[in-house]
Amino acid sequence: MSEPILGSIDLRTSQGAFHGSRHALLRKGLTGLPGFLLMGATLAPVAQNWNPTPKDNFPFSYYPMFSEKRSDTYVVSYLVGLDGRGNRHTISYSFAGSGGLNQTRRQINRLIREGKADTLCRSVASAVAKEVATPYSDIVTVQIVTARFRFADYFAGNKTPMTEQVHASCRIARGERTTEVGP
Amino acid sequence: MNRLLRLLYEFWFPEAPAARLAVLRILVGIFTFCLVAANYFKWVEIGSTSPALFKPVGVVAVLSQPLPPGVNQILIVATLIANILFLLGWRHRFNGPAFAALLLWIISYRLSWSMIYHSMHLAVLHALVLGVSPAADALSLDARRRSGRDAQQPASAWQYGFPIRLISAVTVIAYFVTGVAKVAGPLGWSWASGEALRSQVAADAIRKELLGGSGSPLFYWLYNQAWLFATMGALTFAVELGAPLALLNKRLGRTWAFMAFLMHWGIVFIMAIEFRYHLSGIPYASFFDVERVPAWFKGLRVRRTGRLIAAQSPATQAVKT
Repeated sequence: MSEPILGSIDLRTSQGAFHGSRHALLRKGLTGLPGFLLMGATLAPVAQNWNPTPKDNFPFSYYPMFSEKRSDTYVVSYLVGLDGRGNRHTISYSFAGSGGLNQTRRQINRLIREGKADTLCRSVASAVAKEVATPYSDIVTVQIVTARFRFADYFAGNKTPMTEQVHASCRIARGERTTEVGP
Repeated sequence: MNRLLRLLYEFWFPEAPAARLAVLRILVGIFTFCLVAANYFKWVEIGSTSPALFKPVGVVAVLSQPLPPGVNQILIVATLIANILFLLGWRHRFNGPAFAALLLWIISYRLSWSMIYHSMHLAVLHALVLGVSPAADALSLDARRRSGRDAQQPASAWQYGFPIRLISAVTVIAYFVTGVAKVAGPLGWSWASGEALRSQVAADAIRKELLGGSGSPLFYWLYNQAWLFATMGALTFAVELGAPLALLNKRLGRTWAFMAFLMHWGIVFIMAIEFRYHLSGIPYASFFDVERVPAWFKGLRVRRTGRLIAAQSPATQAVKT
Protein backbone atom coordinates (compact mmCIF):
# COMPACT_ATOMS: atom_id res chain seq x y z
CA MET A 1 0.00 0.00 0.00
CA SER A 2 1.41 3.38 -0.93
CA GLU A 3 1.19 6.55 1.14
CA PRO A 4 -2.26 7.88 2.15
CA ILE A 5 -4.11 9.57 -0.71
CA LEU A 6 -3.93 12.96 0.85
CA GLY A 7 -0.63 12.40 2.58
CA SER A 8 1.34 14.80 0.44
CA ILE A 9 -1.38 17.39 -0.09
CA ASP A 10 -0.83 20.58 1.85
CA LEU A 11 -3.90 21.02 4.01
CA ARG A 12 -4.53 24.19 5.93
CA THR A 13 -7.55 25.71 7.55
CA SER A 14 -8.47 29.31 6.97
CA GLN A 15 -6.42 30.16 10.06
CA GLY A 16 -3.34 28.58 8.56
CA ALA A 17 -2.93 25.74 11.05
CA PHE A 18 -1.93 22.30 9.80
CA HIS A 19 -4.15 19.32 10.40
CA GLY A 20 -3.64 15.62 10.02
CA SER A 21 -4.80 14.00 6.77
CA ARG A 22 -7.68 12.04 8.36
CA HIS A 23 -9.13 15.15 9.95
CA ALA A 24 -8.59 17.05 6.73
CA LEU A 25 -10.28 14.29 4.74
CA LEU A 26 -13.30 14.50 7.03
CA ARG A 27 -13.41 18.28 6.70
CA LYS A 28 -13.19 18.07 2.94
CA GLY A 29 -15.94 15.49 2.95
CA LEU A 30 -18.19 17.64 5.12
CA THR A 31 -17.45 20.71 3.01
CA GLY A 32 -17.70 18.86 -0.27
CA LEU A 33 -20.95 17.00 0.36
CA PRO A 34 -23.30 20.04 0.23
CA GLY A 35 -21.31 21.30 -2.74
CA PHE A 36 -21.75 18.06 -4.65
CA LEU A 37 -25.44 18.04 -3.71
CA LEU A 38 -25.73 21.54 -5.14
CA MET A 39 -24.13 20.39 -8.37
CA GLY A 40 -26.50 17.41 -8.47
CA ALA A 41 -29.48 19.68 -7.88
CA THR A 42 -28.33 21.96 -10.71
CA LEU A 43 -28.01 18.98 -13.06
CA ALA A 44 -31.14 17.09 -11.95
CA PRO A 45 -33.73 19.25 -13.79
CA VAL A 46 -32.32 17.89 -17.05
CA ALA A 47 -34.69 14.94 -16.47
CA GLN A 48 -37.64 17.30 -17.09
CA ASN A 49 -36.82 17.14 -20.80
CA TRP A 50 -38.18 13.59 -20.88
CA ASN A 51 -41.14 14.30 -18.61
CA PRO A 52 -44.49 14.43 -20.48
CA THR A 53 -45.48 17.46 -18.37
CA PRO A 54 -42.17 19.20 -17.66
CA LYS A 55 -42.11 21.68 -14.79
CA ASP A 56 -39.66 24.53 -14.57
CA ASN A 57 -38.42 25.81 -11.22
CA PHE A 58 -36.10 28.19 -9.42
CA PRO A 59 -33.17 28.24 -8.76
CA PHE A 60 -32.88 24.81 -10.36
CA SER A 61 -34.18 24.92 -13.90
CA TYR A 62 -34.05 22.83 -17.04
CA TYR A 63 -33.76 26.11 -18.97
CA PRO A 64 -36.37 25.41 -21.64
CA MET A 65 -36.06 28.85 -23.26
CA PHE A 66 -35.45 28.75 -27.02
CA SER A 67 -35.85 24.95 -27.21
CA GLU A 68 -39.45 25.09 -28.46
CA LYS A 69 -40.33 24.15 -32.05
CA ARG A 70 -42.13 26.95 -33.86
CA SER A 71 -44.00 27.03 -37.12
CA ASP A 72 -43.72 29.91 -39.59
CA THR A 73 -46.53 31.72 -37.78
CA TYR A 74 -46.85 33.14 -34.28
CA VAL A 75 -49.89 33.67 -32.06
CA VAL A 76 -49.76 36.50 -29.53
CA SER A 77 -52.27 38.16 -27.20
CA TYR A 78 -51.96 41.87 -26.55
CA LEU A 79 -53.75 45.12 -25.78
CA VAL A 80 -54.99 47.45 -28.50
CA GLY A 81 -56.22 51.01 -28.15
CA LEU A 82 -58.58 52.59 -30.71
CA ASP A 83 -58.88 56.36 -31.03
CA GLY A 84 -61.97 58.28 -32.16
CA ARG A 85 -61.12 57.71 -35.83
CA GLY A 86 -60.62 53.99 -35.37
CA ASN A 87 -56.82 54.15 -35.59
CA ARG A 88 -55.00 51.44 -33.65
CA HIS A 89 -52.43 52.23 -30.96
CA THR A 90 -50.14 49.96 -28.98
CA ILE A 91 -50.97 49.87 -25.29
CA SER A 92 -47.98 49.00 -23.14
CA TYR A 93 -48.05 45.75 -21.18
CA SER A 94 -47.33 47.85 -18.08
CA PHE A 95 -51.03 48.81 -17.98
CA ALA A 96 -51.85 45.14 -17.41
CA GLY A 97 -49.20 44.13 -14.89
CA SER A 98 -46.04 45.12 -13.07
CA GLY A 99 -43.81 42.08 -13.49
CA GLY A 100 -42.05 42.85 -16.77
CA LEU A 101 -43.09 42.16 -20.36
CA ASN A 102 -42.93 38.37 -20.44
CA GLN A 103 -44.51 37.84 -17.05
CA THR A 104 -47.36 40.21 -17.91
CA ARG A 105 -47.78 38.52 -21.30
CA ARG A 106 -48.21 35.18 -19.54
CA GLN A 107 -50.67 36.73 -17.12
CA ILE A 108 -52.69 38.14 -20.05
CA ASN A 109 -52.73 34.67 -21.68
CA ARG A 110 -53.83 33.11 -18.42
CA LEU A 111 -56.65 35.60 -17.88
CA ILE A 112 -57.90 35.05 -21.46
CA ARG A 113 -57.71 31.28 -20.96
CA GLU A 114 -59.70 31.55 -17.74
CA GLY A 115 -62.38 33.70 -19.39
CA LYS A 116 -61.38 36.84 -17.49
CA ALA A 117 -60.52 39.03 -20.49
CA ASP A 118 -63.34 41.46 -19.62
CA THR A 119 -61.93 42.00 -16.12
CA LEU A 120 -58.50 42.67 -17.61
CA CYS A 121 -60.03 45.00 -20.21
CA ARG A 122 -61.80 47.11 -17.57
CA SER A 123 -58.65 47.28 -15.46
CA VAL A 124 -56.52 48.42 -18.43
CA ALA A 125 -59.20 50.89 -19.57
CA SER A 126 -59.39 52.55 -16.17
CA ALA A 127 -55.59 52.84 -16.06
CA VAL A 128 -55.46 54.30 -19.59
CA ALA A 129 -58.22 56.77 -18.68
CA LYS A 130 -55.86 58.39 -16.15
CA GLU A 131 -53.18 59.05 -18.78
CA VAL A 132 -52.92 62.58 -20.11
CA ALA A 133 -50.15 62.06 -22.65
CA THR A 134 -50.70 61.01 -26.27
CA PRO A 135 -51.44 58.50 -27.68
CA TYR A 136 -53.18 57.28 -24.53
CA SER A 137 -55.23 60.47 -24.12
CA ASP A 138 -56.73 59.89 -27.60
CA ILE A 139 -57.73 56.30 -26.98
CA VAL A 140 -61.46 55.77 -26.57
CA THR A 141 -61.65 51.98 -26.67
CA VAL A 142 -59.41 49.25 -25.25
CA GLN A 143 -59.42 45.75 -26.74
CA ILE A 144 -57.88 42.50 -25.60
CA VAL A 145 -56.96 40.61 -28.76
CA THR A 146 -55.21 37.45 -29.90
CA ALA A 147 -53.71 37.51 -33.39
CA ARG A 148 -51.74 35.19 -35.63
CA PHE A 149 -48.88 36.60 -37.73
CA ARG A 150 -46.72 35.07 -40.42
CA PHE A 151 -43.06 35.80 -39.65
CA ALA A 152 -42.00 36.31 -43.27
CA ASP A 153 -44.83 38.79 -43.92
CA TYR A 154 -44.34 40.65 -40.67
CA PHE A 155 -40.62 41.24 -41.17
CA ALA A 156 -41.21 42.16 -44.80
CA GLY A 157 -43.35 45.03 -43.55
CA ASN A 158 -46.86 43.53 -43.73
CA LYS A 159 -48.00 43.71 -40.11
CA THR A 160 -51.62 42.80 -40.76
CA PRO A 161 -52.47 39.68 -38.77
CA MET A 162 -53.64 36.56 -40.61
CA THR A 163 -56.39 36.15 -38.03
CA GLU A 164 -57.47 38.25 -35.08
CA GLN A 165 -59.88 37.52 -32.25
CA VAL A 166 -61.17 40.25 -29.94
CA HIS A 167 -61.80 38.77 -26.49
CA ALA A 168 -63.04 41.92 -24.80
CA SER A 169 -63.64 45.56 -25.70
CA CYS A 170 -64.13 48.42 -23.23
CA ARG A 171 -64.98 52.04 -23.92
CA ILE A 172 -63.03 54.61 -21.95
CA ALA A 173 -65.24 57.23 -20.42
CA ARG A 174 -62.85 59.78 -18.94
CA GLY A 175 -64.18 61.14 -15.68
CA GLU A 176 -66.91 58.48 -15.73
CA ARG A 177 -67.00 54.77 -15.08
CA THR A 178 -65.40 52.53 -17.78
CA THR A 179 -68.01 50.52 -19.66
CA GLU A 180 -67.62 47.14 -21.26
CA VAL A 181 -68.82 46.99 -24.85
CA GLY A 182 -68.31 43.28 -25.39
CA PRO A 183 -66.00 41.37 -27.72
CA MET B 1 -7.20 3.91 -8.18
CA ASN B 2 -5.28 5.98 -5.65
CA ARG B 3 -3.94 8.10 -8.46
CA LEU B 4 -7.44 8.72 -9.76
CA LEU B 5 -8.71 9.65 -6.30
CA ARG B 6 -5.75 11.94 -5.79
CA LEU B 7 -6.48 13.64 -9.10
CA LEU B 8 -10.12 14.05 -8.15
CA TYR B 9 -9.18 15.53 -4.78
CA GLU B 10 -6.71 17.87 -6.34
CA PHE B 11 -9.29 18.86 -8.94
CA TRP B 12 -12.12 19.62 -6.52
CA PHE B 13 -10.05 20.97 -3.64
CA PRO B 14 -7.35 23.12 -5.25
CA GLU B 15 -5.64 25.72 -3.14
CA ALA B 16 -6.59 29.31 -3.82
CA PRO B 17 -5.94 32.61 -2.07
CA ALA B 18 -8.60 33.98 0.29
CA ALA B 19 -8.60 37.22 -1.71
CA ARG B 20 -9.84 35.45 -4.86
CA LEU B 21 -12.95 34.16 -3.11
CA ALA B 22 -13.35 37.56 -1.44
CA VAL B 23 -13.30 39.36 -4.79
CA LEU B 24 -16.01 36.99 -6.03
CA ARG B 25 -18.04 37.87 -2.92
CA ILE B 26 -17.65 41.56 -3.67
CA LEU B 27 -18.51 41.20 -7.36
CA VAL B 28 -21.59 39.06 -6.74
CA GLY B 29 -22.56 41.34 -3.84
CA ILE B 30 -22.37 44.44 -6.02
CA PHE B 31 -24.47 42.78 -8.71
CA THR B 32 -27.17 41.49 -6.36
CA PHE B 33 -27.36 44.85 -4.59
CA CYS B 34 -27.84 46.66 -7.92
CA LEU B 35 -30.39 44.05 -8.99
CA VAL B 36 -32.51 44.31 -5.84
CA ALA B 37 -32.14 48.09 -5.45
CA ALA B 38 -32.93 48.81 -9.11
CA ASN B 39 -36.02 46.60 -8.97
CA TYR B 40 -37.09 47.61 -5.47
CA PHE B 41 -40.31 49.44 -6.43
CA LYS B 42 -41.21 46.88 -9.10
CA TRP B 43 -40.75 43.92 -6.76
CA VAL B 44 -42.68 45.64 -3.98
CA GLU B 45 -45.51 46.31 -6.47
CA ILE B 46 -45.45 42.70 -7.67
CA GLY B 47 -46.29 41.72 -4.09
CA SER B 48 -49.66 43.44 -4.58
CA THR B 49 -50.55 41.46 -7.74
CA SER B 50 -53.86 39.60 -7.72
CA PRO B 51 -53.56 36.38 -5.64
CA ALA B 52 -55.29 34.63 -8.57
CA LEU B 53 -52.02 34.94 -10.53
CA PHE B 54 -49.87 33.54 -7.72
CA LYS B 55 -48.01 30.43 -8.85
CA PRO B 56 -45.30 29.77 -6.25
CA VAL B 57 -41.93 28.40 -7.34
CA GLY B 58 -38.87 27.13 -5.47
CA VAL B 59 -38.80 27.76 -1.74
CA VAL B 60 -41.93 29.92 -2.02
CA ALA B 61 -43.87 26.73 -2.83
CA VAL B 62 -44.35 26.38 0.95
CA LEU B 63 -46.96 29.16 0.60
CA SER B 64 -50.47 28.47 -0.66
CA GLN B 65 -51.36 32.18 -0.66
CA PRO B 66 -49.19 35.25 -1.28
CA LEU B 67 -47.67 37.05 1.68
CA PRO B 68 -49.19 40.34 2.83
CA PRO B 69 -47.51 43.02 0.63
CA GLY B 70 -45.98 44.66 3.72
CA VAL B 71 -44.15 41.45 4.66
CA ASN B 72 -42.79 41.14 1.12
CA GLN B 73 -41.52 44.72 1.35
CA ILE B 74 -39.86 44.09 4.73
CA LEU B 75 -38.10 41.03 3.31
CA ILE B 76 -36.80 43.03 0.34
CA VAL B 77 -35.48 45.75 2.67
CA ALA B 78 -33.89 43.09 4.91
CA THR B 79 -32.23 41.58 1.83
CA LEU B 80 -30.77 44.96 0.87
CA ILE B 81 -29.36 45.46 4.37
CA ALA B 82 -27.94 41.91 4.48
CA ASN B 83 -26.53 42.50 0.98
CA ILE B 84 -24.57 45.55 2.15
CA LEU B 85 -23.18 43.57 5.10
CA PHE B 86 -22.34 40.68 2.74
CA LEU B 87 -20.51 43.11 0.49
CA LEU B 88 -18.59 44.55 3.42
CA GLY B 89 -17.93 41.10 4.87
CA TRP B 90 -19.33 41.87 8.32
CA ARG B 91 -20.12 38.87 10.57
CA HIS B 92 -20.09 36.76 7.44
CA ARG B 93 -20.48 33.49 9.32
CA PHE B 94 -24.04 34.55 10.23
CA ASN B 95 -24.84 37.22 7.70
CA GLY B 96 -23.59 35.25 4.66
CA PRO B 97 -26.13 32.40 4.97
CA ALA B 98 -28.86 34.86 6.04
CA PHE B 99 -28.25 37.03 2.97
CA ALA B 100 -28.19 34.03 0.63
CA ALA B 101 -31.46 32.70 2.11
CA LEU B 102 -33.16 36.11 1.87
CA LEU B 103 -32.03 36.60 -1.72
CA LEU B 104 -33.26 33.12 -2.65
CA TRP B 105 -36.62 33.90 -1.05
CA ILE B 106 -37.26 37.33 -2.56
CA ILE B 107 -36.24 36.30 -6.08
CA SER B 108 -38.30 33.09 -5.85
CA TYR B 109 -41.21 35.26 -4.70
CA ARG B 110 -40.67 37.71 -7.55
CA LEU B 111 -40.80 34.79 -10.02
CA SER B 112 -43.93 33.28 -8.46
CA TRP B 113 -46.38 35.17 -10.64
CA SER B 114 -46.80 33.00 -13.77
CA MET B 115 -43.35 33.44 -15.34
CA ILE B 116 -39.87 32.22 -14.45
CA TYR B 117 -37.14 34.42 -15.89
CA HIS B 118 -33.91 32.52 -16.40
CA SER B 119 -31.53 35.42 -15.93
CA MET B 120 -31.28 35.27 -12.13
CA HIS B 121 -30.67 31.58 -11.45
CA LEU B 122 -26.89 31.74 -11.55
CA ALA B 123 -26.63 34.89 -9.45
CA VAL B 124 -28.63 33.22 -6.69
CA LEU B 125 -26.69 29.96 -6.91
CA HIS B 126 -23.41 31.87 -6.69
CA ALA B 127 -24.67 33.90 -3.74
CA LEU B 128 -25.67 30.65 -2.00
CA VAL B 129 -22.15 29.22 -2.43
CA LEU B 130 -20.48 32.45 -1.31
CA GLY B 131 -22.88 32.89 1.60
CA VAL B 132 -21.89 29.61 3.20
CA SER B 133 -18.18 29.67 2.36
CA PRO B 134 -15.34 31.60 4.06
CA ALA B 135 -15.65 34.37 1.49
CA ALA B 136 -14.96 37.14 3.99
CA ASP B 137 -11.58 35.92 5.25
CA ALA B 138 -9.99 38.71 3.18
CA LEU B 139 -11.02 42.15 1.89
CA SER B 140 -13.69 42.46 4.58
CA LEU B 141 -14.53 44.04 7.90
CA ASP B 142 -14.19 40.57 9.44
CA ALA B 143 -10.62 40.33 8.10
CA ARG B 144 -9.79 43.84 9.36
CA ARG B 145 -11.12 43.03 12.82
CA ARG B 146 -9.16 39.77 12.89
CA SER B 147 -5.93 41.35 11.68
CA GLY B 148 -6.15 43.69 14.68
CA ARG B 149 -5.64 40.66 16.91
CA ASP B 150 -3.55 38.56 14.58
CA ALA B 151 -1.67 40.22 11.76
CA GLN B 152 -1.24 36.93 9.86
CA GLN B 153 -2.98 36.93 6.48
CA PRO B 154 -4.95 33.82 5.59
CA ALA B 155 -2.86 31.45 3.51
CA SER B 156 -3.94 29.90 0.24
CA ALA B 157 -6.11 26.93 1.12
CA TRP B 158 -8.56 24.42 -0.28
CA GLN B 159 -11.32 26.08 1.80
CA TYR B 160 -11.13 28.96 -0.68
CA GLY B 161 -10.40 26.83 -3.73
CA PHE B 162 -13.37 24.49 -3.35
CA PRO B 163 -16.10 27.20 -3.39
CA ILE B 164 -14.44 28.80 -6.41
CA ARG B 165 -14.37 25.45 -8.19
CA LEU B 166 -17.99 24.90 -7.15
CA ILE B 167 -19.07 28.27 -8.58
CA SER B 168 -17.39 27.38 -11.88
CA ALA B 169 -18.97 23.92 -11.85
CA VAL B 170 -22.47 25.22 -11.14
CA THR B 171 -22.04 27.76 -13.96
CA VAL B 172 -20.98 25.21 -16.56
CA ILE B 173 -23.63 22.70 -15.44
CA ALA B 174 -26.35 25.34 -15.93
CA TYR B 175 -25.08 26.01 -19.46
CA PHE B 176 -24.88 22.28 -20.18
CA VAL B 177 -28.47 21.74 -18.97
CA THR B 178 -29.57 24.57 -21.27
CA GLY B 179 -27.86 22.84 -24.20
CA VAL B 180 -29.41 19.47 -23.37
CA ALA B 181 -32.90 21.08 -23.34
CA LYS B 182 -32.33 22.11 -26.96
CA VAL B 183 -31.07 18.70 -28.09
CA ALA B 184 -33.80 16.85 -26.16
CA GLY B 185 -36.46 19.23 -27.48
CA PRO B 186 -38.60 18.53 -30.56
CA LEU B 187 -35.92 19.90 -32.90
CA GLY B 188 -33.04 17.78 -31.61
CA TRP B 189 -29.66 18.45 -33.18
CA SER B 190 -31.31 20.35 -36.03
CA TRP B 191 -31.66 23.22 -33.55
CA ALA B 192 -28.09 24.07 -34.53
CA SER B 193 -29.24 24.97 -38.06
CA GLY B 194 -30.31 28.32 -36.64
CA GLU B 195 -33.88 28.21 -38.03
CA ALA B 196 -35.39 27.62 -34.58
CA LEU B 197 -33.31 30.40 -33.12
CA ARG B 198 -34.50 32.76 -35.86
CA SER B 199 -38.14 31.87 -35.17
CA GLN B 200 -37.65 32.36 -31.43
CA VAL B 201 -36.07 35.73 -31.96
CA ALA B 202 -38.79 36.68 -34.45
CA ALA B 203 -41.51 35.72 -31.95
CA ASP B 204 -39.74 37.72 -29.27
CA ALA B 205 -39.46 40.75 -31.55
CA ILE B 206 -43.17 40.61 -32.49
CA ARG B 207 -44.38 40.38 -28.91
CA LYS B 208 -42.09 43.19 -27.82
CA GLU B 209 -43.43 45.39 -30.58
CA LEU B 210 -47.08 44.57 -29.90
CA LEU B 211 -46.84 44.75 -26.13
CA GLY B 212 -44.94 48.01 -26.06
CA GLY B 213 -41.51 46.69 -25.12
CA SER B 214 -38.27 47.68 -26.77
CA GLY B 215 -37.04 45.25 -29.40
CA SER B 216 -33.82 45.25 -31.39
CA PRO B 217 -34.09 47.63 -34.36
CA LEU B 218 -31.45 45.47 -36.08
CA PHE B 219 -33.78 42.51 -36.30
CA TYR B 220 -35.76 43.63 -39.36
CA TRP B 221 -32.53 43.53 -41.34
CA LEU B 222 -31.16 40.45 -39.61
CA TYR B 223 -34.26 38.32 -40.19
CA ASN B 224 -33.21 37.51 -43.74
CA GLN B 225 -29.59 36.73 -42.85
CA ALA B 226 -30.08 32.98 -42.36
CA TRP B 227 -26.31 32.37 -42.25
CA LEU B 228 -26.03 34.51 -39.14
CA PHE B 229 -28.56 32.40 -37.25
CA ALA B 230 -26.88 29.20 -38.44
CA THR B 231 -23.55 30.50 -37.08
CA MET B 232 -25.17 31.57 -33.83
CA GLY B 233 -26.94 28.21 -33.49
CA ALA B 234 -23.68 26.29 -33.90
CA LEU B 235 -21.82 28.61 -31.52
CA THR B 236 -24.58 28.34 -28.94
CA PHE B 237 -24.35 24.56 -29.04
CA ALA B 238 -20.57 24.73 -28.70
CA VAL B 239 -20.78 27.06 -25.67
CA GLU B 240 -23.60 25.18 -23.95
CA LEU B 241 -22.81 21.53 -24.62
CA GLY B 242 -19.08 22.14 -24.44
CA ALA B 243 -19.35 23.97 -21.12
CA PRO B 244 -18.13 21.06 -18.93
CA LEU B 245 -14.80 21.13 -20.81
CA ALA B 246 -14.19 24.52 -19.20
CA LEU B 247 -13.40 22.72 -15.95
CA LEU B 248 -10.58 20.68 -17.46
CA ASN B 249 -7.90 23.35 -17.37
CA LYS B 250 -7.37 27.07 -16.93
CA ARG B 251 -6.91 27.91 -20.58
CA LEU B 252 -10.05 26.05 -21.67
CA GLY B 253 -11.96 27.63 -18.80
CA ARG B 254 -10.95 31.14 -19.80
CA THR B 255 -11.60 30.54 -23.48
CA TRP B 256 -15.05 29.18 -22.68
CA ALA B 257 -15.78 32.08 -20.31
CA PHE B 258 -14.84 34.57 -23.02
CA MET B 259 -17.03 32.82 -25.61
CA ALA B 260 -20.01 32.62 -23.25
CA PHE B 261 -19.60 36.30 -22.40
CA LEU B 262 -19.50 37.24 -26.10
CA MET B 263 -22.53 35.04 -26.80
CA HIS B 264 -24.61 37.01 -24.31
CA TRP B 265 -23.53 40.30 -25.82
CA GLY B 266 -24.46 38.93 -29.25
CA ILE B 267 -27.89 38.02 -27.87
CA VAL B 268 -28.36 41.63 -26.71
CA PHE B 269 -27.48 43.10 -30.09
CA ILE B 270 -29.58 40.70 -32.10
CA MET B 271 -32.45 39.84 -29.79
CA ALA B 272 -32.45 42.72 -27.29
CA ILE B 273 -32.68 40.11 -24.51
CA GLU B 274 -30.57 41.17 -21.55
CA PHE B 275 -29.15 38.58 -19.19
CA ARG B 276 -27.65 41.28 -17.02
CA TYR B 277 -25.65 39.01 -14.72
CA HIS B 278 -24.06 37.30 -17.69
CA LEU B 279 -23.47 40.59 -19.49
CA SER B 280 -21.60 41.89 -16.44
CA GLY B 281 -19.09 39.05 -16.84
CA ILE B 282 -19.33 38.21 -13.12
CA PRO B 283 -20.49 34.58 -13.60
CA TYR B 284 -17.20 33.89 -15.37
CA ALA B 285 -14.93 35.65 -12.86
CA SER B 286 -14.28 32.34 -11.05
CA PHE B 287 -12.21 31.23 -14.06
CA PHE B 288 -9.72 34.08 -13.56
CA ASP B 289 -7.18 35.19 -10.93
CA VAL B 290 -9.44 38.04 -9.89
CA GLU B 291 -7.45 38.73 -6.71
CA ARG B 292 -4.99 40.53 -8.97
CA VAL B 293 -7.48 43.34 -9.51
CA PRO B 294 -7.40 44.76 -5.94
CA ALA B 295 -3.63 44.10 -5.82
CA TRP B 296 -3.25 46.11 -9.05
CA PHE B 297 -5.32 48.98 -7.63
CA LYS B 298 -3.27 48.91 -4.43
CA GLY B 299 -0.05 49.03 -6.48
CA LEU B 300 -1.40 51.93 -8.51
CA ARG B 301 -2.25 53.85 -5.33
CA VAL B 302 1.23 53.20 -3.90
CA ARG B 303 2.88 54.38 -7.13
CA ARG B 304 0.73 57.52 -7.22
CA THR B 305 1.47 58.30 -3.56
CA GLY B 306 5.17 57.71 -4.24
CA ARG B 307 5.11 60.16 -7.17
CA LEU B 308 3.25 62.74 -5.07
CA ILE B 309 5.79 62.49 -2.23
CA ALA B 310 8.67 62.75 -4.71
CA ALA B 311 7.10 65.82 -6.32
CA GLN B 312 6.76 67.55 -2.94
CA SER B 313 10.21 66.61 -1.58
CA PRO B 314 12.71 69.49 -0.91
CA ALA B 315 15.14 68.07 -3.48
CA THR B 316 12.50 68.24 -6.24
CA GLN B 317 11.47 71.73 -5.17
CA ALA B 318 15.13 72.83 -5.33
CA VAL B 319 15.51 71.46 -8.86
CA LYS B 320 12.34 73.33 -9.90
CA THR B 321 13.63 76.63 -8.54
